[in-house]
Amino acid sequence: MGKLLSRVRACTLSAVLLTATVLSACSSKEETVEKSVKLWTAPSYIKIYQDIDYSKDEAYTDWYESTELNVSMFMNEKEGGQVIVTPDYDVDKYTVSVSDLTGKDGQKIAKENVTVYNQKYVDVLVPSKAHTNSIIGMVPDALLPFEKAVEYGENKIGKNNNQGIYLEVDSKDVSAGEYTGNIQLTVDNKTHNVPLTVTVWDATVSEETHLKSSFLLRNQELLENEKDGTDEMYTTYYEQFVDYRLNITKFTQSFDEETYIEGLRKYYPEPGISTLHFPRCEDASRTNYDENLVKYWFKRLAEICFEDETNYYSKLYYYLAIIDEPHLTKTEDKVVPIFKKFAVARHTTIRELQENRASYDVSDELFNAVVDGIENFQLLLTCAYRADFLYENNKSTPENPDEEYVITWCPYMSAYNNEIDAEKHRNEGIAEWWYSCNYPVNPYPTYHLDDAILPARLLSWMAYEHNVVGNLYWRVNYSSEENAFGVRETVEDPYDITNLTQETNGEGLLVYPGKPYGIKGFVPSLRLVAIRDGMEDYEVLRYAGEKCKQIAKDAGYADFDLNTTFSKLYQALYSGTKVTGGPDDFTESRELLSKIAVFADKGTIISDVQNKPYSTIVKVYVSNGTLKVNGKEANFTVNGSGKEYTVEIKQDKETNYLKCTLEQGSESFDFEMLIGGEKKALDLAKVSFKSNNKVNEISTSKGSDGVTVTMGALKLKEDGSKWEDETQRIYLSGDVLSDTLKKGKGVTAIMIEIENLGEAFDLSVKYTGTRSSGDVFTFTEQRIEANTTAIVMIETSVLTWDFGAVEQLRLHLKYDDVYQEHAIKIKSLICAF
Amino acid sequence: MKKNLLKMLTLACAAVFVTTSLCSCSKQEEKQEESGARIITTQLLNSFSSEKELYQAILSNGYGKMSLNKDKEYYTTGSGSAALWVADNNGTPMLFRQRLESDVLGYDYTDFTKVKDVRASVYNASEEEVQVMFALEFSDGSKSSMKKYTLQSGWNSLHYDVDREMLSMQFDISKTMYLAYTFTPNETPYTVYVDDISLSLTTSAMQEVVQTIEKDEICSFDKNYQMSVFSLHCYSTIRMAYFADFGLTANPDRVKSGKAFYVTTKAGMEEKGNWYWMKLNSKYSEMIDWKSLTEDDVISFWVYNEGPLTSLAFSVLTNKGKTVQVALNNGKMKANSWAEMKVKLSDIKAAADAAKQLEKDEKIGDILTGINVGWGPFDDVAQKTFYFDEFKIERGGAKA
Repeated sequence: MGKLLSRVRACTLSAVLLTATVLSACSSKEETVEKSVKLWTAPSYIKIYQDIDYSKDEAYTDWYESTELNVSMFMNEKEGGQVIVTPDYDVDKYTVSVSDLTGKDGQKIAKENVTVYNQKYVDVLVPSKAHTNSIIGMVPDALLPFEKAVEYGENKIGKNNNQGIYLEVDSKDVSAGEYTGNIQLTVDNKTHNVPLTVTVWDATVSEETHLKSSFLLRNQELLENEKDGTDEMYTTYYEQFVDYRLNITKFTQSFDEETYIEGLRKYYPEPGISTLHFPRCEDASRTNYDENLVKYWFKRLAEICFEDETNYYSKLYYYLAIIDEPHLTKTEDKVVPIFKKFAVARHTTIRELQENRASYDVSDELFNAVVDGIENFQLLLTCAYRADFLYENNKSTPENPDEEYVITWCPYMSAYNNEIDAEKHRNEGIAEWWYSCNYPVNPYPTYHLDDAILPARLLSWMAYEHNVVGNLYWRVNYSSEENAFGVRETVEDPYDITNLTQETNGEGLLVYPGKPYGIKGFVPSLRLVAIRDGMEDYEVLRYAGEKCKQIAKDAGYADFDLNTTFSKLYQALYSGTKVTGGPDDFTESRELLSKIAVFADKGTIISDVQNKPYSTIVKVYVSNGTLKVNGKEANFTVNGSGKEYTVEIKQDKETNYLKCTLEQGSESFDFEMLIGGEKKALDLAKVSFKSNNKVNEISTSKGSDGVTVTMGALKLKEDGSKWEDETQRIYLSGDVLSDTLKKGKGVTAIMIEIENLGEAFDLSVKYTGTRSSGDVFTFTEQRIEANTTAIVMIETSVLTWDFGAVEQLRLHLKYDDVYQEHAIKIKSLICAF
Repeated sequence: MKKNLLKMLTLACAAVFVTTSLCSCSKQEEKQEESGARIITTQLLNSFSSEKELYQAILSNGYGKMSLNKDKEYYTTGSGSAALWVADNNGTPMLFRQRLESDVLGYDYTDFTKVKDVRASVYNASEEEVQVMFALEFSDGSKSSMKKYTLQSGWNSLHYDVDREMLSMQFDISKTMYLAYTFTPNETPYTVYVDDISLSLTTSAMQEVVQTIEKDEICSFDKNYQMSVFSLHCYSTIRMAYFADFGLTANPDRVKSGKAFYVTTKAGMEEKGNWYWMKLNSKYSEMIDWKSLTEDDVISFWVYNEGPLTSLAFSVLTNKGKTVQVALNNGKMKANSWAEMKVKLSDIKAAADAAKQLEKDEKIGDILTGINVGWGPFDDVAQKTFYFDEFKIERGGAKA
């Protein structure tokens, strides 16, 4: 658990080793030379570099020694797997074919449902800026349709190189079950077979895409690389992106009204389109928005909604590119006026619509939905929450109610890493979007070439957990490099993107032009496929989530928290928005998601997960049936027509699972969920409690159930001023901490069990390292409610421990009134392994 | 006038070289002719016979597309041509650039000290005339002035004589990156076929160009080579297409003395508030003793404006790689009359101070490296012609 590209224990895609021996005669010496080709497999969510020798890398052993390709997927999903060919000689030619896959009762997945791609590689020479785990070398990226690789003579492999063959299975119209078939590879006229097994889970990826996206496609690069900047080519790309469940920022390049409306009518009904951009309203200077045009379009679009009896506003948004990243582009002064301008246009339009209600022959439902769409229109501002941009801090004098606006914040996804920051965006925005570009870098998810591929997929999982509705990305087809004079040049070979003028490798480029291979449209990349796969995962999460919420509602769970139910799905993969998990963790989480989705279909949900010092208590609500653990019905209480089962999983082993079976009539459904590793308490008697006496005094009282710490009132600085953060502090230290919380000890989380003996406070847990020269780092921030006992969970798996061991754990407590005494009890300090 | 400053720019390159060493690409065709000691080699740069060759051309701006034509009617040699479809998109021209260096095909013709001319064949498949401008683009992003061609229906030959000596005064022509063809859209979309772009390579050495300036002269425009001491710029390559004409004139009504420099420019796009700039070339600028300038001095020049009222701006280039700008004539320039512009170095110093360009103890003369004159904004559609003359330094002029 908690590894990034780490050792594999159990992999859904098992793998195979096929060694083929070819005897050939050397014409000059008549010697017999043994040539061999190693075939192995890997899941879609790892990158196998062309020039890395994986034979001795233990982290890859299970894949490197694999004997077959297994793909597990939901219904109506596209999911891939890789066959890697590693010859010990120069291969002149290889071809691939796939058989039909057969299941039970004559069911099959036709071979046409399997698309084969040849992987192309980018020579990444320099690590992306600020990356800490960059892997440079020949990185797989473009996925060239295999027949094109053959047509253009690219089905060759250099000696000892790894050549990835990517197979994508489409389970559209395929029933749940297991299907088997064969992949046939002919390498220099020698035929090899790799068994292919596809497991289709009994849950469906929605046809409709719900996670919004705004990915910018630039025409200039179409001209440069496709040699075609026409609307036709733009549209080809736009529609191809829809196949990847992503929406290009604007569906037309045109400013023409008729063209826009025609496009709106064409694309709105498409299930793969979740996001449609409002018409362009820039004024002639292109440095501001035209107030009249904004007003015109709000009303015009409302009228089109009424005319077509369709609420187009449900998919419309506006990305305010003129004030893009206002903190970086010196457009901060424009933010408030622009939001007010749009607000006035919206409110004026709503008023006019309401005044003329009688003239619109539409239902109240539609009318109100359109008005609501205008009122809550998503205006995206690409920056993190700033109080000085809020309407309440920028009211005109006298106040003009028409100017009232709410910002749709679109910060870096790193802004959601801690709950306190995330809450600001949630509470103060209409909807939540996020974006990434050169920054942030790992351990946050990136689309960078030298990062792992899994994080690109996990971004959608994070979006679902954090209730983020949209993902913005600044460019899909960037391809410029700088010459020695710093002048922008078009790359000569659009597949050689080694020197793009970005701080991070591959940034802004997710697709390659098809023209060099006679393809109309783009050639996808491994990264684009990972993003698409994440979008599909999101749909399953959403499907299962909606089901769970409905079951909880029907069962009367007033405080049901879906994120608690799904916590074990996310736990091994990431913390906040920092990636902590690797491919094997992901395999397990996908498997668990399939189980949760099936359980939800059967009216069963995990209704609560409670972290206890040495165990975890899982509550399972079953609306119909019986839950058995070790063959016996678990303890339960009756809840309406259903039962709530309570299962405590002791965490005294290296890995601890909830294993249970749901029985409904003659059917039974097995469920297995990783709870976590072992939990061990640190001896509180050996922990030293201190504070910075200049800030506040503390006193301690040790009892059998913990240490009560009383903090004196916050002091003023020597010069009489206040401390900047105005928090009371408790510092924990001692050998017991530094001997345990360090690299190699395998601590994935620290849990501080705190009993709050008074009013609520915001807790910030910081730490210093034995090698960090006085630097203070923040672990986590969260709210501790009044008079409750809470377990503060600190994920450590993301740490590189380059600060040495943890020297001090510092608790900063922010009460409403810090200038009086407060007390908490630290009941236990537990390390989870 | 007394000559007291003489500088020579030696622009000659090696007298003898082997032309074939320029290119290792076996696909390129070569023809040689010998004329005395000079060998002219015709090097076919692109016959557009394959997609790879097509990829040596880059499209930018504008609205349209390019594809490989295999219809024999529209190519001359090889087995294809570049079919370029140009449609109107708010008047933005289509830029078609041919690479002069290729890693993929392994050629390098960037050294234009050895290039005598550039030729291309273009088939105009429409019934209307098509306007195309040609320029060289250099690796530092600078561009030569454009030469305009009018393409008639059918095949047209585009021939551009490389005036190496003149170009070398403005640019480092040994680092020429692209041949840039700018196609102006017509009301009706049209197709042209570009084929057989070739270079004539010569073994003859470039002639020395001796440039001289008088005491305190910046540029009098009385010597023919002074036609090239200012280069013209605007916000994009494409807008450069609208430089209709420039050169030296001896028209007595339009000179202050000897000859004057004239520039005719068309309007920019209104929403851009476009400005044009003429910049003193760095090589020429090196001859001027900027360092001796003090706050008491003045840079002066004459300008005659044939067009409507226009703002004029003056800026200096500093050794910090920045420009420091001052407005002239209260931001306006009278039409149809000569006006003398005087730029006080003290004003430039104040602007440099404000822009934090001057370090402590640095004098204004220490940081100057060149001058630029700009005019605009072009918010109307009028064509404008300006005449410039007698750029000079007036020592102590600020006290007068």
